[in-house]
Amino acid sequence: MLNIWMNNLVMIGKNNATLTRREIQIRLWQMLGSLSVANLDGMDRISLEMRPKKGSSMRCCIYKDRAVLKYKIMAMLGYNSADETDELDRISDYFMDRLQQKNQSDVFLTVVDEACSACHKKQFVITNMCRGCEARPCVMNCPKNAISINGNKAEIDYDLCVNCGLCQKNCPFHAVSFIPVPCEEACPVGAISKNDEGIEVIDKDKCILCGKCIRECPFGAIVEKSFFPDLYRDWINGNHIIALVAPALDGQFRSSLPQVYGAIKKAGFDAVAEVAWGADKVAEMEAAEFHERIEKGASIMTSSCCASYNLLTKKTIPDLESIKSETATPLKITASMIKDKYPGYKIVFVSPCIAKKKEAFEINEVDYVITIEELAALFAARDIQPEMCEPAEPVLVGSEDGKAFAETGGVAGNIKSKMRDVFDYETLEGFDKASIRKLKGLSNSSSSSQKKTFWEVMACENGCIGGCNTLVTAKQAKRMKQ
Amino acid sequence: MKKIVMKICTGTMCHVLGGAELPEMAKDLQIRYQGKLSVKGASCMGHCKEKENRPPFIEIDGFVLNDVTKESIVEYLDEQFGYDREE
Repeated sequence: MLNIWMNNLVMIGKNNATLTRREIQIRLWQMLGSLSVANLDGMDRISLEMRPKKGSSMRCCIYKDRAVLKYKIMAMLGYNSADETDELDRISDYFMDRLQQKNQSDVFLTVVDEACSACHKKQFVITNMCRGCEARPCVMNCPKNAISINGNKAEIDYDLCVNCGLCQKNCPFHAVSFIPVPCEEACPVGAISKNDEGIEVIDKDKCILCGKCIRECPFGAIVEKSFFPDLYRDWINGNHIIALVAPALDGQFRSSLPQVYGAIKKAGFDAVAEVAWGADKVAEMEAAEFHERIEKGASIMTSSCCASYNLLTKKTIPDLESIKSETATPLKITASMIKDKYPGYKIVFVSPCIAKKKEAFEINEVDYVITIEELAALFAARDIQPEMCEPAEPVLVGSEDGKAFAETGGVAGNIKSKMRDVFDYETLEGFDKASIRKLKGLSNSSSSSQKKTFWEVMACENGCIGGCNTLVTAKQAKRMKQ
Repeated sequence: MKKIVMKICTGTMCHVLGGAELPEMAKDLQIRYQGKLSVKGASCMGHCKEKENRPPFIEIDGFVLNDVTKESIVEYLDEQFGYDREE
């Protein structure tokens, strides 16, 4: 039922919190100079530059804004306010600490306490539109007797209210308003909730890193850890670095894909490889695997390339593990090929989403992840214009079919074209509370169902091109593919 | 009558900081202003190097507008062409 409101909550495109995050990323890269000179002093001044004296502020004043910006940068570096021993510690101190590889935690999402506005607990509110009518459908229909009339106006007893929404549904004056907590509404697995102070806390054991809360928090309070210091460290150490690019990179810039590869090399990477190459292999392997499973009597198999879905089957719905393909992800397959071919190279995945940061953390083949957004910030900081760059050839090339993995239907379509068996396919894109319920049902129906069905499961709407760390909306990415 | 020339910056800075969808409005703008406006995409015009300016940028007959949105562009052009927005 809450999904009715969910639809009104989805913030896509214009979102100032997203722009703030990108501006921070750009300014950080700018302080890291050409390749070897870090401007640590400048790094400490980012919050001052972004909120100058006499300028406007997002919160009560520029000083609060500056403090919030500082904590957001700290969170990008992988530190939270609990790590703060002295409030006078500078951003550059944390940066240097991170450069020395002292922070190796696998916490990828932080709620910045200072930015979280401690939204009012999710609730229904009787507004001034209430006329205290005779019919009193709110009182009559409340299953918990939580509503009474006080001075010609309805009143909710929040100790009794269970947020069912029947009062809102029945009020003829639309006098009952629903006040959501955006991050909690967006979280498909109930991993984010308030602590005693009203600040949101993420339960690491439940979180599947889908990134929905990052996008939905109107205060930009949920910040992901960035691996830009690792990239910088590899540069100053003179390591060879190879960028493995997700198929979702296509359509993110206003230039051809080979020109984006040229830009990546100009930014300091030694080579580029397409993960679409691994996707081609996955399509073949999954088709063979499904065929084998069907012969053994199974009727359903799901895809296994989405990192967030893989966390979901591990943490939330273990029953799905048995019907999920055991084929490795396109990233893992591509990376192990590259590791053999280019020993000693640092392998960096350019990702449309945050969940892949966790996947890369857990497998040996990939060193770390830079998101498409962080890559673009690097381009912006170094004044690299992809449309002006010489096209570059990737060392591993994927087919058009492999590239289709970035969009809904791409994985399933590929498997279908590679199989002799007749089967249906379904796609489940965009995790929310309803789709998680559907997946739970799927895990129970697997044995009884006779219809052979391949399920393509992707955490993001439209697939990877709708990832939380892309630059443009999925619709626009489709239009900009060249 | 001389056309008003509008250049939309397609540089990386503008693309990343909120201007990615601006070039797509070219067609709609040309319809709205019926041949009186010429819209071009331009590679980075360098306005982002000046500290006070905020991307995304457009130039209208050489005049620089910063921190633009689809709405603010239409508002500005309506005024230039004497369109009455109240109608």
